Amino acid sequence: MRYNKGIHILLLVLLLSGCVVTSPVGYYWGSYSKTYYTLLKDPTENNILAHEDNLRKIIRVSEEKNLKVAPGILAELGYLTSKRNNNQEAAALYEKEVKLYPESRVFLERLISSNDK
Amino acid sequence: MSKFFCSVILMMFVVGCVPLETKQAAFPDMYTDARPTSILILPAINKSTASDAASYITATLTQPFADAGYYVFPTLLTTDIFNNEGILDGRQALEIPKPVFKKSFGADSVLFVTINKWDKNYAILAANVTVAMSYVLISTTTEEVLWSYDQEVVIDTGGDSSAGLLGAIIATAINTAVQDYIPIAQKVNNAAVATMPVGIYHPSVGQDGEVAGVSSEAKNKALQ
Repeated sequence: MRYNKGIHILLLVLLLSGCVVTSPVGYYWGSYSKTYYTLLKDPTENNILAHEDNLRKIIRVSEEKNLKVAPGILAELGYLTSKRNNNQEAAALYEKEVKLYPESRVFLERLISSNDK
Repeated sequence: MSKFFCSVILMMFVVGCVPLETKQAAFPDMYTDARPTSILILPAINKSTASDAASYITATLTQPFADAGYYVFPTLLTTDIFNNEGILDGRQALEIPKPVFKKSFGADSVLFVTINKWDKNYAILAANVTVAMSYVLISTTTEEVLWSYDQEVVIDTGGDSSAGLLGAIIATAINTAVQDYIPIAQKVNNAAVATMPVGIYHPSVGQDGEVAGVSSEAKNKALQ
C-alpha cells in the first residue's frame, strides 16, 4: 500500500516536471539540429520558416523552465527576422543575446550598426 | 613478480596499448588564462566524397561545444559572413592571422573542422557508415593549438536480417536511402568533445583536469 503511494507521488512529480530533456549545462535544444540541417540542405522559404518556428519554441520552452537560452539561439532568430527587414525585432534579440553572453558583444554590435545603415 | 608482469602485459593487450593521458596533461593551456570563453567555428573542410556531409556536421557542431561550457558564435550567421568574404571552407582561412578573428568577431578561439571520411558501405546483409573527423582549436591571442582531436566512428545502419535474404536486401536499400545521418554526426562530434576540458559555463570548469581518456595518438593525428 505504501509502495503504491510512492509510485503515485513519483508519477505526479514526473507529470508536473513536464519531462523536458536538457543538456548537462541545462540548455534546451529541442530539435535544433534537425531543422537547421533541413535549412542548410534546402533553403526554401518553408524550411527557413520551420527553423524560425523551432528557434521560437526553444526560447519559449527555455523561458518557461527558467533555463538560460542556449548560445546563439536568440542571435540566429534575430538574423532570420532581419532578413525579413524586421530590424527592430532583430536588434532586440541581438541585445538579449549580448546580455546573456557578453562574449557576443563585438560581433553583434557590428551587425546592429550595419542593419541601421 | 612474474605474475605481476603477466597481468601488466595482459592489461596492455586489453587496452590495445594506446597511451591515454589526462585532460590537463594533454591540453595544459586549457587550465590557464589561455582557456577561451568563446569559439568561432569555421566552415567545415570536406575531404570526403559525400557532398552533404558538411551540412550534417555544421548542423550538429554547436550543441556539444555549447554544452561543454563555451559560447559558440551562431554558425547560421558566421557561415554567411565567411561566404561573403570568399571563405567557403576552413582551408581558405588557414593563412589568415588568428588575431583578425579576435578583432572582427571578438572570438577567443577558432575551430577548424575537417571531414576526412564519410563512407557508406553497403553489403547484402548489413550496411554501415564510417565517419572520420579532425578538430583543431586555436587561440586568437597566442595562435597556439589549445585542443585537437581525431575521431572516427563506425555505425551499423544495416537492415533486418530476420526477414530473409531478399527482405534484407530491400531493407538495406531502404535504410541507406532514407538514413537519418544527424544522430551519426552527433555521435562523432560528442565523442571528440568528450576529450575537451570544459569551459566557464559548465559547472565542472577547471575541475576536470584529472579525467583520463585522451589518446595522445588522436590528439597528434588531428594536427597532421
